[in-house]
Amino acid sequence: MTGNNPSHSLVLCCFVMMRNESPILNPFLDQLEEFFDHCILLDHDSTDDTVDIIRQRKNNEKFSLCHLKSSGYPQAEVATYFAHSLIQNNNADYVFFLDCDEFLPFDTRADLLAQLKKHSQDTLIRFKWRNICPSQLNGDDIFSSDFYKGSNQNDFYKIAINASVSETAPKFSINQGYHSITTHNGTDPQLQEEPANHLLHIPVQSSGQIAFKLCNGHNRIAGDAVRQQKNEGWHWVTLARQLASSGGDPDVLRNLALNYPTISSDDNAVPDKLEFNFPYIKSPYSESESYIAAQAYSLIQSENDPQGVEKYSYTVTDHKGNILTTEHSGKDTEPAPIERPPQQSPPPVLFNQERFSEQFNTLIDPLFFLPTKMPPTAWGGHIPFLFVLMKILSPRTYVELGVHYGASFITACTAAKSLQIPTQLYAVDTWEGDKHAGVYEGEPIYQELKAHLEGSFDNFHLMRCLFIEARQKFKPGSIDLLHIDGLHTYDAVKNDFTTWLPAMASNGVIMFHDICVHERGFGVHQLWDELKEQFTTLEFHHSFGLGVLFLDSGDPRVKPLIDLASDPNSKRFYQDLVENIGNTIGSRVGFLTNQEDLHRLHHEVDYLRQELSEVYSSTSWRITSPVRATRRKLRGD
Amino acid sequence: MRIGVVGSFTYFENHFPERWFEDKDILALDVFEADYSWLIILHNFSPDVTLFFRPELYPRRFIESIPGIRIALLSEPVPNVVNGKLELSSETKLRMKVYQLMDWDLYHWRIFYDEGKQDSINALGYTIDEFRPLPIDTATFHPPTRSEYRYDVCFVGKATPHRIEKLDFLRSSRLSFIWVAHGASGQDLAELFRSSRIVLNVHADAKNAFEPRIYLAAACGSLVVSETLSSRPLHFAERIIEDTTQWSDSLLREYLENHQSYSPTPSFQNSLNRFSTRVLISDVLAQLNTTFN
Repeated sequence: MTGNNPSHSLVLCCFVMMRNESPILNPFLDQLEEFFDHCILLDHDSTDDTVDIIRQRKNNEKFSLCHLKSSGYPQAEVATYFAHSLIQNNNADYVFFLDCDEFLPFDTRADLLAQLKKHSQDTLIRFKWRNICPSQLNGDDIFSSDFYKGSNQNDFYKIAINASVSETAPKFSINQGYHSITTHNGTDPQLQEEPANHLLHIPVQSSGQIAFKLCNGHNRIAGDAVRQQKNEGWHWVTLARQLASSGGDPDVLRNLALNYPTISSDDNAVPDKLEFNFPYIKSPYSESESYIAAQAYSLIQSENDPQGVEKYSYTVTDHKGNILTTEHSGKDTEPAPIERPPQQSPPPVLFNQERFSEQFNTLIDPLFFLPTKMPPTAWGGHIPFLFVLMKILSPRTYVELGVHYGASFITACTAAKSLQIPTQLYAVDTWEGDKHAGVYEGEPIYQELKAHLEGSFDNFHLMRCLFIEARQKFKPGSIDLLHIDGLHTYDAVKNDFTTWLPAMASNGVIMFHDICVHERGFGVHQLWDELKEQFTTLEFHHSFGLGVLFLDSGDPRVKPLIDLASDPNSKRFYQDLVENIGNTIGSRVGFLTNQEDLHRLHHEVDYLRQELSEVYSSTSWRITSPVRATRRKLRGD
Repeated sequence: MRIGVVGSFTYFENHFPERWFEDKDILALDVFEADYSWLIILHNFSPDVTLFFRPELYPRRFIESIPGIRIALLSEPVPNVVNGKLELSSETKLRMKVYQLMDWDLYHWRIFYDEGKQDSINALGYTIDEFRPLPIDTATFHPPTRSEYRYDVCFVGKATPHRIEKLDFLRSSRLSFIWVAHGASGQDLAELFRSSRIVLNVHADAKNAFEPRIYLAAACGSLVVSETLSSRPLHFAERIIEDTTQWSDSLLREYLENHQSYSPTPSFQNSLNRFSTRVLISDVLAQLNTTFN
């Protein structure tokens, strides 16, 4: 059984899921280039140079870079998806599942193929972990010196699957951790352990790297009462404490690396040197500043992760932003079923009596905020809801595509200042118009908006350029709230969505204006209908319609809105309420600003009258009276 | 309790509530005079009480939309009363024009900063509820815990012909002297005062006045030596000296010799407490018989 390919040249593919792996990534990619024909590299919101390294890699035709947006860790789901995809679309004979710290112990691809030929009848091949540890752990290139090898007692395996599995078990799924598969047809996979060769695993690459790794794991488990109760992941806490108490002793680090993830008490055993010298690796291991910063920030993030069993949403996109697969049913991604107590609380209802105060403060009170200015706009009716969204999300970054007079942008700025949120606010527009907004003289509009913003706000940035030009300025995962209101054709708004999606945080929110316009070539409604099938959404139908898309329906911040959207009566009530309040915005803001102008004009008139009165009563006026009389006569007045 | 503060940061931040920049229950707005729509932000913030510095500047409709108690702190000088009449001049008329825009009834409590101007205020017919110096951020402006002086003499204020003439003697003096014309405010200004044995007060012109820096410097424990003041200092009396003579090196040395460095006394502490901005707010609320959580 050699899978899809009848010829003798096997097609070898690999699936890799990664996050912040920049130090070891180039050596790892050297490996992939040597052994595999095609690789899926799935990045999970890396904040260091991981994505840049892949993009800048020369001869990267073998690599398909994809992006995973998820606050959880849906490894089994995405591995299953890509395993099927590689077999069906790339004619893979074998699919490997490697992490960036795992290396094959073969000199060349020919050597690997020779081993695989021995297992051509097996559905699965299991490679046993062999932990190895660099002889130097100071952050320098670990591949330029020797490695120590651990004992042969490790019980952890990684699998490679033969494409024949898709014939014997068409609905197979990969298990979390890549240790095995589930056939779902009652059969066991035919597997063979590869005894002669191990998978070389480098869990500790430097003292700094392992410290970050253990602290992250420690933070996640130590703050998670549910996992502690189930005794899950406690080894992270133990390992972290062992490391901390050792003060970074090199022998303790080496011992930890060679026995990972178990704990050994024998710190004094002298390990053997590894004979293998990684002939296919040409690039150095390198810890950059951005990697260290990203690891430090992730420590803060891991302290603030929500506790308890998480319901995960996820979305996978390709390098162009096209959605490949997504799941938003709130399904638990734990592979084994877990017993939970039955639901006790009643279905969510707006203004639940017990939570009235919280719901009022979150969902109602901000509706009555006012923006500092309301220029001409078709967006006015949505201003109240934007205040609610800003309060709920407290976004780090707000980006608006298509600004024009700035009504919604001024609202976002007002919200940030009123709520004392240090949001960075970006307005992107050329201020030249388009066929939907109309071509307009943008310079005076831009200058007026700029002057108003400079007088009242900080933290705002006007980006006078095309959307695609502005996109380069935003790192992946950096935008929490995005407002798309540019050209409204289907192709244009879809392009905006796919282009900017990778820049969104995994729990970000996207707003689309004009979802209710079905004329003049507007196609936002068409895209909105597609997106509603894939994401949790909320929509308003007044002021030409506003669609609100939640990338992570499990984000606790947006729970009030998700609950509201899930109850038809509450949703309808809230939509009507927002519309009614939105209809009054223009008159309420206009009342303030127009009255201010009137008040000022009255004072100016009073002042001028007083000045005139002083002139009339002055001596010089009386003296020159005959001169004025003569002039009037000459003019014939 | 949520507190709003409206006032030019440049001129008034030293008088804002204690720890205002780190307290989420306090929103301070700087003044942008071209367009007052930024006051709407305060409407959204929904304060329980708001302090307005230079209240005569702000348009009525915006102020009306701000909920809670509104306290006006008036700090523009008014003319003196001489022989029962207001001593008007073109300059005083110009200054008083600003008060023509004031909506007195919008504020629940109106405070005038110069306690010596009650006669003038009565003559003008302004509605003032209390005469009280501008409050001070006592978390920033307070005496040192240890006296470590870098300078013998300090002056803060822009250079004018009168000041240049008045302070010229210091150019040849052996006393250590620093003159900061611009840019010192908040913590920087307080540190400067605390590291100076004497802080001089010289009016911009030769006209008597009572500058806010007098009490700011005194609150930091400095000895304040001033030209003739428009009214007697009623607080920090032991730290403020009004000297109408010709100033000289020997005069200042005499003060340095005869006046002790700051040491805590009950009367000083009482004065400092009374100047606290948060205490002012509490006092006003007590006057209005209002409480907040």
